[in-house]
Amino acid sequence: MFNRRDFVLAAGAAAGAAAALSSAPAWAEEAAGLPRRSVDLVAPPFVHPHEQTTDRGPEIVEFKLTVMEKEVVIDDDGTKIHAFTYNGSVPGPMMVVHEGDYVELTLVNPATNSFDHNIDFHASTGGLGGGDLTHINPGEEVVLRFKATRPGVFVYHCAPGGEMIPWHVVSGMNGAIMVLPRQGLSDGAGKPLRYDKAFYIGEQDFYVPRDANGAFKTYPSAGEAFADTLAVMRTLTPTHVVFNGRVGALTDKNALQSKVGETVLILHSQANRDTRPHLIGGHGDYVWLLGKFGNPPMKGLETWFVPGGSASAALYTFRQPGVYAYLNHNLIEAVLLGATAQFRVEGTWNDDLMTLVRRPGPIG
Amino acid sequence: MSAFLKVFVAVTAALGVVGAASPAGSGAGPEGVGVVAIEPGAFAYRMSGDFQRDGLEANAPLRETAIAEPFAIMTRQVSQRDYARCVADGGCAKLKGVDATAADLPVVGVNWGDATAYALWLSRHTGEDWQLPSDVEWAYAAGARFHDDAIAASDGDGYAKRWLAKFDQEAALEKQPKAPQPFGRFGANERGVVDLAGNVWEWTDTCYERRTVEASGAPSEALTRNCRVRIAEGGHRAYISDFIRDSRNGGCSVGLPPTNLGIRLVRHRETPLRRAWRVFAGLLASL
Repeated sequence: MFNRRDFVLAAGAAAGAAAALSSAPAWAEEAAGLPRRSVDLVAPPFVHPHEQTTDRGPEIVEFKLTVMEKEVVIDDDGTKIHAFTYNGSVPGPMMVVHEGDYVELTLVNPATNSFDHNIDFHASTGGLGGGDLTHINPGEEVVLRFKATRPGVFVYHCAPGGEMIPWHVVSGMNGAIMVLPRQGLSDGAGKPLRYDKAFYIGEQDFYVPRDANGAFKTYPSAGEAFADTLAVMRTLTPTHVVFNGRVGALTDKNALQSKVGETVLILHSQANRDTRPHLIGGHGDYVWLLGKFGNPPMKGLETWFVPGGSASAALYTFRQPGVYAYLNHNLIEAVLLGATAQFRVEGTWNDDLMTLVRRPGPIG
Repeated sequence: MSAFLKVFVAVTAALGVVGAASPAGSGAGPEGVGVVAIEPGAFAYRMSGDFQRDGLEANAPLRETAIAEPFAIMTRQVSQRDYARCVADGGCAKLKGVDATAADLPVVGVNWGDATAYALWLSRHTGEDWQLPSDVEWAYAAGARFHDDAIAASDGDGYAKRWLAKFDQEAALEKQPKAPQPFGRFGANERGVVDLAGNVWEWTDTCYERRTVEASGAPSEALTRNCRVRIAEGGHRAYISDFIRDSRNGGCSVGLPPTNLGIRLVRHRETPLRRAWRVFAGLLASL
C-alpha cells in the first residue's frame, strides 16, 4: 500500500528549511514596504491580464496555487490518469511579473489530497528553487517569496524528492512564470516588441501503463498506479505527448483564435523532455531561444528548440488567414501522440505571399 | 490445397449456387444479418470528390440522382464474429483485436482490401452478390443520416474563407470514443438501418475523383481518378487511402479522420453478366 506516510520529509530537509527561515528576516527588508498587488490566475492557454511595460517600481505580486489531485481524461478514447495539478489544470497557470518584482506565492495542499507536494521555481535563487522550503502535507499551506532577478520564461514544478520528482512532473505538476523586462520586450537592437495576445502552451509527456491486450489501464488511485507508471517512465517512451493536458485540448473547437495583422506571443514550456515547436505555414518572427529575455531574440526561425526543463517565447505576426497547426515537429509525437495545437486566423488572403497558379488537375 | 483443387472447389461452389440467390429486396442476410430492402427511387445527392468552378474551389453539385434497381443493405455492420468466420475459412486477413465470439460488436480496423475480400468471400459462401456499396447507394440508404459536406460559403468566396468555413464545420462534428459499441447503440434511421454515422465508418467502393462544375451547373466527367483512395461513409464523408486500417491518426494537420473503419455490404439483383464476372473473380481469388 502506498500512502502519504511514504513521503514524510527527511529530517535533514526539515532542518535545512528551518535554518533558511531563521535567516530570512535579514534579507526581507528590501521587500518590506513595497506596494502589493494580488493577481487572479487564469487557466492555460490564456495568460492573466498584465502590463507589457511598467514605469512603476518593484512590487510584491501575490499569487495563489492550490494543489488539486484529480482524475483527468487525456485523449479522445477516454484514457484516464490520476493527475497532480496546480489549480486544476495541466500545465498550471502562467504567472507574469516584471524583473525586480517579488513573487509571493501561497501554496495550498487541501486536506482532501493524499500526497505531499512543493514547488521549485526555476526563476528563483536558492533553496532548491524554493522546493526545499515549500514541502506541505495535505491540510497545510505555505507562503514563499522570491525576487524575480532574471527576465525570461521559466518552468516551475513539483519536486518532492527522489522518484517522486519525475512522477509528479509527468503527472501534470508543472507550469511557467514569465518575468518581463520592466521596459518590455525588444529585438535586442533597441526596437521595442509588443504583442496583442499571449498564449501559454504547456507540453506534457504522459506514461500510461497498458494491460495484456495493449489497452490503457486505469487505477482506483494514484498510489496504485505508481509502480506500473514508473515502469513505463523508465522506458523513456511516452504514451502521450500533449498540449494543455490532453489530446485535442487546442484543436478544432478549442483552436486558438487570431487574425491577420495580430501579433501573438507563444509561450511554450516542457518541464521534463525536449521539444521543438513549429508553426506550419508561419514562423517565429522573434524567438527567445531558451526563453530568456536578457539575450537578443533570434529572427525568422522555422522551428525552435525547447530543452526539457525550460520554456521558450516566440513572437509572430499573422500575415495570412487560415488554419495553422502549431506542433512539436517530431511529427510522430505531434500526430500519433497528440502534440498539436491549431490557430484559426481570420483575414484577407495575400496573393503576393502565396498564389495557386494552377489548380490540381491532369498533367499536361 | 493445390491450385487445381482450389479451382475445382470454386467452380463447384459457383455452379452449386446458380439460381439460389434470393431477390435483392427480400430474405435474411447471411449468418443472421438482417437486410433492409431499398426500393428504387430518386434523391438529391451531394456528389463526392473535389470540384472546381471557374478556376476556383467549389461545392459538389447537389444532383437529383436515380436509384434504378432495388438492392438490399445489411441492417447492421459486419460483426467481429462474421469477420472471424471469413478469416477461419481463409477468405480474409487475420486482424488484431477481432474477437471471434463477439456477435454483437462491429468489426473495426479493416482496410478497403479487407472489406472487399470479405464481400468476395461472403458472395462465394452464400452464392449471393455481396459488394461494398457505392457512395450513392450508401447516401440513399442512409437517408437522414447522410452528412452533407457542402461548405457553407459561396463558391467564389476565396480559398481562406472556404477553408475556415470547412474547418468550423468539421470542428463542430462530435468526436466519438473509439471503442466499438454493441449493435443498435446509435439507433436506426428511417429505413431501419442501424448505427449509420455512429463511431464506425463504412468503406464504399467509390474512388476519389476530381471534376469541374460546368456553366450549366452540371458536373464534368472525372478529370482524374485515384482508386487508391476510397470513400468511407459515416459521421462525415472521408477519403481514405485503401491500405489504412486505423484512420484515427490518418488525418493531416487539419480535418477530421474517421474514428473507426468497418464494413456494411449491399446485395444486388444479379444480372447474368454480373454473375459470370463474380464467378470469374471468385476463381481468381481462390488462386
